[in-house]
Amino acid sequence: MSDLDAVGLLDAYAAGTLDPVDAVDDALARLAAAHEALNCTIRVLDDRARAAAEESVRRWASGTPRPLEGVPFGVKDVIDVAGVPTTAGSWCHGLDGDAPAATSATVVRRLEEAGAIAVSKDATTEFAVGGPHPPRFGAVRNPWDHERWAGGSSTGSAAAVAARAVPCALGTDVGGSVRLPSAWCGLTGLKPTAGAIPRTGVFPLSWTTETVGPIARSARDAERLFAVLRGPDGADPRSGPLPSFDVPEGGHLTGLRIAVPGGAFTELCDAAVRAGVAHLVDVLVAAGAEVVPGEVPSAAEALPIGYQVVFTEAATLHRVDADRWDRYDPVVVRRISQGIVTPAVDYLRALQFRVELQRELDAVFAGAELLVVPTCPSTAPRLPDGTVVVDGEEFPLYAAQSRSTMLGNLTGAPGLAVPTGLAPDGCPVSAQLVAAPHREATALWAGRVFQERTGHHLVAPPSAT
Amino acid sequence: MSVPDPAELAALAARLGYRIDDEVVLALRAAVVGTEDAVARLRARPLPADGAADPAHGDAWLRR
Repeated sequence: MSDLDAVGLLDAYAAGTLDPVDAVDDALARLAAAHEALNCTIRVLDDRARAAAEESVRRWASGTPRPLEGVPFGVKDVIDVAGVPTTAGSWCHGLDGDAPAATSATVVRRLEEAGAIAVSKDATTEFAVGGPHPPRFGAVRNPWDHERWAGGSSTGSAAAVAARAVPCALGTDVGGSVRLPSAWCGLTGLKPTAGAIPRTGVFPLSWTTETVGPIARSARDAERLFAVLRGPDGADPRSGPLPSFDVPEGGHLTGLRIAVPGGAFTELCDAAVRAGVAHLVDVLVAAGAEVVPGEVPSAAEALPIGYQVVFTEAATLHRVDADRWDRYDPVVVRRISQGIVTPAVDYLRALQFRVELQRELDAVFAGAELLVVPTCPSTAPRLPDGTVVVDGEEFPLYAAQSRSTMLGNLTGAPGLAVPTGLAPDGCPVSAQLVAAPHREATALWAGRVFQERTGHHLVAPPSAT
Repeated sequence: MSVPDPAELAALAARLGYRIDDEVVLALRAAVVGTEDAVARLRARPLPADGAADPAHGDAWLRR
């Protein structure tokens, strides 16, 4: 059953060949093994999950299953689950230590109300912004190569999904933190439009750039999860009414126009990643899509200016804990402290630049429905120092990792990371489908058609088979 | 204009309620220096003449 994605599990439940109790027991056993090998789990929710699985069995038996009835999922440990501590991967995550969360985050509540079953709190980099070695819980190894990092910040969530312990998980994305570990672990990850999914009950890092998003093994699973997660909750002020969400069912992409920009997206990008992008484009074109011109002239500035927004907002949020920074991951302190001294005029100029970038995207989306770009420039970073290798040359992690993802965080545009194959080093590469705001359906459609015509998303790490 | 020296940055951080040690101040300054070129380009960039000066347009883009 570990080979089944969420839709596959639901089909098996419906056919009576599997039941949620067995699936949850299997997930818990696989999580234990995955954690031993990878260090991916902060807390296992076994009693809670088994009780929910019993209820799911009853619902399937009575013919009243909900949309995700009995599907196990992991939860990045910056997201509240009622009755369970939220550590944010830190010793310093609140004034009351490891006190349990009083209520579940909106996203957890929505999945559970749809019948899904939370089975784990997954490792995160500290406060979703720290380095690969959070002091409290340590590095999460990559299922494809244990000498590499799973990526971050949704590090344990991606590792657990890739290890085939759970079919899907909830992550958060401020500069690529759903898409990057998805890319480096061979998964499908969706960063939705900013505000599409409420963040109520999520430990905050940056209100302008942050989203919750599903990490899954297929585009069809990401679609099912997003359909449940989206929509206002009345509490998150950035979450408002949304247009309808309808993913076309057909397997042909006739009429779909895709732009494949170069420039900053491909200047620092390994040949294997570029080959993956070209492969994705070829498959989409074979399915009926048309390649059209489209560039984002200021894309190179998105990364430094996006980080300026993130770190200024993060420094603001963490001022309340400023007397405890000596217990933070030094990487967190180094990164967010620069936000302390960002002049207000520079922060506001960065928010004006956000509008300029959005208008550059508008110009592209006037003639195209999707941009196809690399998700990240390389395969997974090496441990212990987290460096990445691009065309044989080594680069520091933060100089490379978010070059293609921060555009979506700064503008708010959605992006879907899909695996496009394996590099010569045996690790996954990934491309990203970027859409106009609230056009996730278009990216998910193209991603699903690509996956129906290829099998990259089905390839499991050798350690998981 | 150059980036303020470490003592100035430390004083600013202290005034704003952050107690950071000398090592962090040096790391902070190095990070600011590292992004200064990009920020300087942005400071020098003219604003678009079509009303984009109000950052609220950025949020409105996500609600249409």
